[in-house]
Formats: sequence, structure tokens, C-alpha cells
Amino acid sequence: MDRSDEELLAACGRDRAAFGVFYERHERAVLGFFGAVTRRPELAADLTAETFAAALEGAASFDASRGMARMWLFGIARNVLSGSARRGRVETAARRRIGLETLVLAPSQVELIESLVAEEGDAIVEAWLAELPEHEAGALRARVLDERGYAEIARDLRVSEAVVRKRVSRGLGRLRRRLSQETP
Amino acid sequence: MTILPQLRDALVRARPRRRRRPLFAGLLAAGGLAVTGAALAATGVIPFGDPVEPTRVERDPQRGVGVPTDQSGRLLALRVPDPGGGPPWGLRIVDTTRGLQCLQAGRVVGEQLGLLGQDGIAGDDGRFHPMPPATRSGWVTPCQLPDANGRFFIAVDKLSYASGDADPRERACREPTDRDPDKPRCPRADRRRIAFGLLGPEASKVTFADGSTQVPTDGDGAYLYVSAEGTERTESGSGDRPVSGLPGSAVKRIDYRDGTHCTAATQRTPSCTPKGYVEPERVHSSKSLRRKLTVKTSRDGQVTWIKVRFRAPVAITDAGHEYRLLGRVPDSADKRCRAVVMYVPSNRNLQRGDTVKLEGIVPNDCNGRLQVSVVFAATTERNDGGKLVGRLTRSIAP
Repeated sequence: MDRSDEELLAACGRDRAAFGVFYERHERAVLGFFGAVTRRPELAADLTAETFAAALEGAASFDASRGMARMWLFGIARNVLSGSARRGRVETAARRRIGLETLVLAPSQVELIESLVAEEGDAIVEAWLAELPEHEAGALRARVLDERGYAEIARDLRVSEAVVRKRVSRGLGRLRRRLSQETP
Repeated sequence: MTILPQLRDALVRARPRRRRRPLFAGLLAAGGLAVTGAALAATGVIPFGDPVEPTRVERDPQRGVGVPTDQSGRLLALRVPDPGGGPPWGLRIVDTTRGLQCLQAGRVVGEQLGLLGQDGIAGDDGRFHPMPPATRSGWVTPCQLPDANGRFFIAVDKLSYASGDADPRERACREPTDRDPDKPRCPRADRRRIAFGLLGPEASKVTFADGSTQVPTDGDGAYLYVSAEGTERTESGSGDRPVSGLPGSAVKRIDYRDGTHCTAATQRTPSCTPKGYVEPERVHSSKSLRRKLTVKTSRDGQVTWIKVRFRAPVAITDAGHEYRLLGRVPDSADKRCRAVVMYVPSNRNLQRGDTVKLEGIVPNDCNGRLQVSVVFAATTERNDGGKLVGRLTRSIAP
């Protein structure tokens, strides 16, 4: 049976291949997110490398009780992006610390990343959702990404429809504020 | 399908540092004197704590920056007040076993350089902790090679804290660039912009961003600037080549004894080379350094690993020289592959005749005739410099 993300992160201290599986599982989403934001495949690959290097460093301290691993990963991705935008260059600190060489992209890889951008638009929303309280993120994900009705979401979450609407509304408000402040 | 298998493979091969409690925080957790340097100064008494040593220091005298050649370093006479009061800041020069000179900035009590127990250092115990002259490991270090005359030039500009300068990872609180969610944020009021460096014996005056000036120390031309202003910029820089100032640096102008001056670099204009700096010599050996190279290649996903072994034709005794493994694919259809696609320097001392092993990676899309060369070069030389040790070609199949 496939191990969960959380199990993979917990295992990667003693089983380094586990991080490889975690990487493969989320590579497209992270690359797609950075590709969509930057529109530059090489830059997207660079930001992706820094994100996963930071994730590898922090894997041991990942606390599953605080949220899903994917959300955690996108939290790192967003921090790498905003940190890099502030500095005017892609952060390299995590890669330096674990001794990762500079990534050399083959032309075919550049094309693959370009094609990803169109496919992984949802990844952008996921990345921003990672910043929201879990109850707001859950409501927004169900409504915006999964395109489900308020009544259906309310049934699943066992709350009233009005509560779902409020959570979606608040979540969207937070996203708007963040996007207006930090989108490079 | 994995799009960047080389990244996945590198991550799997990487050895992440074990997360551990910062040593500083664990030294004197029972101090209970969570007061700032300013408050300490007001009492007129600075309680001493145990010496602190960064956890990430170079331990191998023959590798990387090396280790200090003596256990005291050289504390310069330069003293600069902290905007919040308390013990002044000072600067220490540390010579290393690999011929580098490193700079350390911190608070000074008596004749000792150290850190105050605040801003996540030593459990915020409020004591003064002397700092031994350890050399930090890593790629970005405040260390420099000498010029051709054996003089040192360096420029460092960074965000730090009133505690004294420490590696952000050593603090128990979070600097703006530190993403550790388990740490609380470091106090904003204690942020400091610090700039320090060595300008050589020709420098006579340094002008800083706030308009203040300083006379550099005799001989070394050392300067030190500490301010609570300009801390919104978290970017830090270390002059990996000798420059008089870095873009956006707190150093705005350097005057020299002969009446000339240098305006520090901006984003658009490069920095001046410091007056008195002489470029180290390139490798000019008349004798042949040619050696037989043994090469193994192995395919791994979408990349090819190149492993090269050879006997060192000359010894390497300091950080000033290195062997470099270079790879390029001159007849590749992709022009990016025609430049250097693989660059691996040796980073340690070697005896003549030692077996040198260098390992690099080439993406398979750079297919064609891979030209592998090993050169012996001065570390300050560009990628295309150095004297050839060996060269061969291998086919990279699509």
C-alpha cells in the first residue's frame, strides 16, 4: 500500500528514498505553481529546487497534527517565492546547506514545465490556501477547486450552509488581501 | 513521469543536517536574566556566561576554509557603539590553516569578543558569552584569500541583531529569512544593519549610509558600521571577490591617502577594485601537469554521472588553488550545452601523487560528444582559466 505523505516525511530521516517518493508526488504541482506565477521555466525549476531542499531540511520537524503535508509544502513554496521576490533573486540558502548543485535544465525539461503551467493552475490556489486557517481552506477548496455546492459542503462538514458561506467569504477576503500585497 | 529526475536524485542523495537545539540556547538556560545589553550597561555589571561556539564550524584543517591557526585570533582596536547601548561592537581577524583570513563581528567586554545572551542566544540569559575564533563552514563565509602581496580585502554587509553577529540558524528565535515555524520571531527592535570589512593600508576614510565617517585601522584598513536603520533589507552579502563595497551596502564612499576616492557600487555600477589590491597570479607552470584520467560514466534517469580519478600532479596546500572538473558538449545542438555544463572544484588539501576523485553530472539532453577536462587553477581564476591536467571525450547518447 502507498505510504501517506506524512508517513514519507516521517520516514525520510532513515529512508532517504522516501523523500524521493514525496518529491515525485508533488513535483508537478510545485513546478506548475511556480511556472504559473513566474512564466519562466528555469526560474520555476530553481524555486522548486529551493522549496524541496527546505522541505527536506524541515521534514524531521513536520507535525502532522498541524495540517496536511501538501499544505505544509505549499507554505514553504509560498515563503520561498515571497522571500525571493523581496531579495530580487531566488533564495539558495537551503540548497547550500544540504550541498545541492545548481540545476542544469535540458531543453525538453523546459518544454515540460511550460506545458505544466496550463495544467496545474489549481496548484496556485492550493499554495495560497496553505496560508489560511484549515476550516477556511477546507471550505474554499471544496467550493472553488472541487466546484461543489454550499449545501453539499455543509452536509460533509456538518455545519450550516451559512457557516460554509461565511468561511468561503472570509477565506477569499484573506486571499485577496495577500495576493494584492505579495504577488510579484 | 518525473520532470526533474536530477533534482529528485540530488535530494535523495543529500544529507540534510540534523535539526538540533541551538547550542547557544542550551548553554545557560537557567540564567533568568532576560534583559538587553542596554539594561545590562545601565547596571554597570556584565555577568559572564560560558563561552559559546557556533555548531556549524569547519573542523577539518585541510578542507574548505580550514580552522583557525591560533585560539585567540586578533581583536582589532576598533570599537563601535550599539544604538541600544551596552558593550561596544568590535571586530576580530582570524587566520586559517588554508591561508584565508576571516572576520568576526561581535560585542566586546574587556578584551574579549562575544555575544550577549539575547535575541535567541544562550537562552536569552542576559550574560556575555565569549566567542572562540571558530571558522564557520559553508559556502558563504566572511573569509577571503590574500591578494598577490599577501594582503586581505573583504566587504560584508548583513542584517544582524544587537546580541552580536551569529548564524541565523544558531538563534532560538527566527530572523526574517529563517522559516522555522517552531521559533518565535526575534525582537524587531534589536535588528541591526552591520557592515564590516578590510580595505587595505591605502584607505583613509569611510563614509556610511547615515553620513557618518570612520578612519579605518592602520594596516588592515578595517571598518565596522552598526545601525538600527536599514534593517528592512534582509539581504546579506559577502564579497567573494575583493570589492570596496557591495550594491546597496552601508558603505557609500571610501577615500584613499593619495586623494582619490571610490563610490561604492550600486545595482547599476560595479564597485571599484580596492586601491592596493593586486590580483593573485594565475597558474604558470612550465612543466607539464598532464596525467592520465580514469573516467567512469553511468546513466541515471535523465542525467549522466561522470566520475574522474587521477593522480595529483602538484600538491594543494591552501584554499588558493584547486583542481576543477569541467564538462562541455561543444557540438551540441543546444547552445547552452556548448558552455560549461559541469563544474566541480576540489575543496581540500592534497599531496602530490594523491588520488583525486571528482564527480559531476551532465543532463542527457546535452547529447553528443562530452568533452571532459581537469585543470589545475588558482581559485580566483575564471572558469576558463587554469592549466590542463587531462582531457578526454565521451559520447552522451540521446
